[in-house]
Amino acid sequence: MRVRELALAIATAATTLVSAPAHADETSQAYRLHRRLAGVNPSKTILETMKLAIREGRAVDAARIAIDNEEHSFFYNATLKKFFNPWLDEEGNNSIPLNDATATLIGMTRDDKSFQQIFATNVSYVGTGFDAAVAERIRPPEPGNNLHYLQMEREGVDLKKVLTPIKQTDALLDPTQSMQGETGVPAGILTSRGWASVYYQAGTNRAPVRFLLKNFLCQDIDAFHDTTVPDDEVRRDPDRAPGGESHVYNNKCKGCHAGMDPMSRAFAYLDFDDERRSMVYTRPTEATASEGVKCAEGSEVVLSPDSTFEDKLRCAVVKKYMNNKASYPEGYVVKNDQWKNFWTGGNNARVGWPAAKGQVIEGSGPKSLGLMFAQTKAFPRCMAKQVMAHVCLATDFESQIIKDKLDRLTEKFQAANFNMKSLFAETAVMCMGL
Amino acid sequence: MLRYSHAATIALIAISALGSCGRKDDGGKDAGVAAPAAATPSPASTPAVATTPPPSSAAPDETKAQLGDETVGVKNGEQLISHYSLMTSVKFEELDENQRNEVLRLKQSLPLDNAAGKFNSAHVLAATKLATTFCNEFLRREQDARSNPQTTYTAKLPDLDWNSSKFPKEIARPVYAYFVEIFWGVDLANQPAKSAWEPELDALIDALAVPMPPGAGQEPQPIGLRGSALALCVTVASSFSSLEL
Repeated sequence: MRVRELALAIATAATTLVSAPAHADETSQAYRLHRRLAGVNPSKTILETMKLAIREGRAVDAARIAIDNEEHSFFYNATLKKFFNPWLDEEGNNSIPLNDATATLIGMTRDDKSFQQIFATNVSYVGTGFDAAVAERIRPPEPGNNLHYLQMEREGVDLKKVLTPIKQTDALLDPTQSMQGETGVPAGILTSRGWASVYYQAGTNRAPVRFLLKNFLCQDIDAFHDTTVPDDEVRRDPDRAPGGESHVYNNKCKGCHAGMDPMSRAFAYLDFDDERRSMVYTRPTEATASEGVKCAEGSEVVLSPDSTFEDKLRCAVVKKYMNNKASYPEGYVVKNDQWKNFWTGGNNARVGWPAAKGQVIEGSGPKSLGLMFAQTKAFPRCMAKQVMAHVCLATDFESQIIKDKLDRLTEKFQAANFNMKSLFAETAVMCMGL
Repeated sequence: MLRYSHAATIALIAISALGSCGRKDDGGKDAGVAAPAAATPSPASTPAVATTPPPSSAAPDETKAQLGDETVGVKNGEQLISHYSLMTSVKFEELDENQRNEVLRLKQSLPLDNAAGKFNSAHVLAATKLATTFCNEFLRREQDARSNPQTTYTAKLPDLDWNSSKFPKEIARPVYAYFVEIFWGVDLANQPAKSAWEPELDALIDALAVPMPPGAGQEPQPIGLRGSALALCVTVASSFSSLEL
C-alpha cells in the first residue's frame, strides 16, 4: 500500500512537469532549445553560453550553439539522421540504417550547403579520419554494399567530425566511370546508392517521382490528379480499360499517369542491380557508344553498324520501361531520359513551378528534374514544414498562427540560401517559449 | 541482486504512474495539442504539491505566440540513449558487451519518434530498464572511484558508505539533488519546486528502508544504500521531466 501511495505522490508531482508555462525564462528557453535540437540536456558550460546569447537577444546564436555543440554531435548523429531517414524509406520509417544518401544530407547540412543542390551536386559524403582502433572496423565505401555506413553507425562515430565530401564520379564510388562527363548525372542523392536501393529497385521507376512530390513538395501523388492533361505520353504498361472499363482509366489512372509518366523518363538509365547490390547507370556516351552498346534486356532495338546514337540511347533504357508493353502497345515508348512536366497548369500550378502557368517544363536526366523540384515555391515551404513538425512538434498546419510562422520560416530559409542548419536554428527559436 | 530487483520494482511502479500521468495530462492526444495551463488537481487523498507559479503577467501577445509553447514531446530511443549516456558520463562504447546488447535490445522498445501521443507504457518500461543500465554503471564507477586509487574517474557524488544498510536523508539528499540536476535540469520554469520534489524523494527513501518481506527461511533485509541510490537514480532518470524533449 505504501509503495502505491508513494508512486502516486511522485506521479502527482510529475504531472506538473508536462505543462509548459506561458512564459519561460532564459534558462527554460535554453533547455528547450538544446533538447529540441540535440535531444539531450545541455552541460552547465553550454547552458550558460546559450543563456547569455538569449539574454542578449541572440536566440538564433544560442540555437547554433546547441547545433554545433563542442561537447557532442547529437544534432547530427541523432536529430538530423531521424529527420532525413523517412525520405529514404517508402514507408517513411525514421529508423533505417545510415546510408550514403542520409550521410550526404547530414554532411551538406553541416557544411552549410544550399539544399537546392541536394539533387544536383556531384557529391557523396563518406567517413574519414577515424581513430585507429575504430578505423580497423570500418570498411571503405563500396558501390555494392552499405557496410561503410552501417559500421560507422555501429561504432557510434561522430558524424560531425568524420563526414567528408568526395565526388560521386570518384572511382571509389563509380568504378565503371559511367557518370563521368555526363550532364544529366550525378544528381546528388538521386544518384546515391541509398536512394537507388529504395526507389530504383524493381518497379517501374515511377516511385522516385511520387516520393519527390511527397517528401520534397509535401504533396502526395493524389494531390496532382488531373484528368485534363493529355495522356499521349503515358507508357504502355497501364491498362487503358482496367476490368474492361475504359472510364476507370480515363477518370482515375490517367489523372496521375499523364503527369507522372513523362517525368519518370528522367530515370530511364537508372536501375538498382539486385545481384550486384549497386546502382546502375546505363546511358552510353558518344565514346562508349562507338565501342558498342549492350542493349538492356528486353530492348526493342536491334543495333547494327548503321545504328544512330539515338538508337543506342534507346537501347540503353532499362528493362523496366518495357514492362507489360503488351498492355497497350500504342502507348508511349521511352527512348531516352528526356522528361516533361505537364503538371504546371490548373490546380497544380499551386506548386509554384519555375515556369509560367501551364507551360510545359522539359529536361534530360534526374539532375535537371531534381533542380526543377528544388526551384519550386513548394520546396522551401515543405522543408520548413517538416522541420517545424520535427523540432516544434507542430501538427496543426491549418492554424493561422502556424501558417504565419511557416511563411516567415520559408522566407528565411530562402534568404539564407536554403541553409538547413539555419532553418533548424530559426525553427527551434520559434518554439523555445516566450 | 535480489535487493536491486526490489529497488527496481518500486521504481518501476512509481515510474509507470509517472508515465500514465504524463499521458493523461496530454489528454491522450497527439503532440501539438494544448496541454492544460495548470496542473491536474491532486486527488484529495494525495499530498498537495506546490509548483513554481508562472509569472503573473497577462496572457502572451498573440502576435508573439510561440510554436510549441504548449506542445509536449518525448525523447526518442536514440535521444534517450544519448541522454542517459551523457548525463551519467557513461559512453555506450564503454559498456561491457552484455550491457551494450541490453541497450540495443531495449532500443527496439523505445519510442521511435517524439510524439507524446504515441508514448505508451512499454516505452516507459524500456526507458526504465535503460536508465537502470546506465545508473548501475554510473554507481559502480562512483563506488570504484572511492576504493580504487588507480581509477581516473572523478567521483561526482559525495563519499558514501556503499555497504551501509541505511541511507539517512541528510546523506541521500545531495545524491538525489545531483540526479535531479543532471536528468531534469535546474531552474526550469516548468519544473516543480525543490520543496515539492524533495519530500517525495524523501518518502521514496523511507519506503525503500522498509525491510523486504522475508522469503522462506530468510531474514528480512533492507534495500541498503546502494540499492536506494540506484532506485533514486532510476526514478529520476525515468520520470517525465527527464523523458520530455
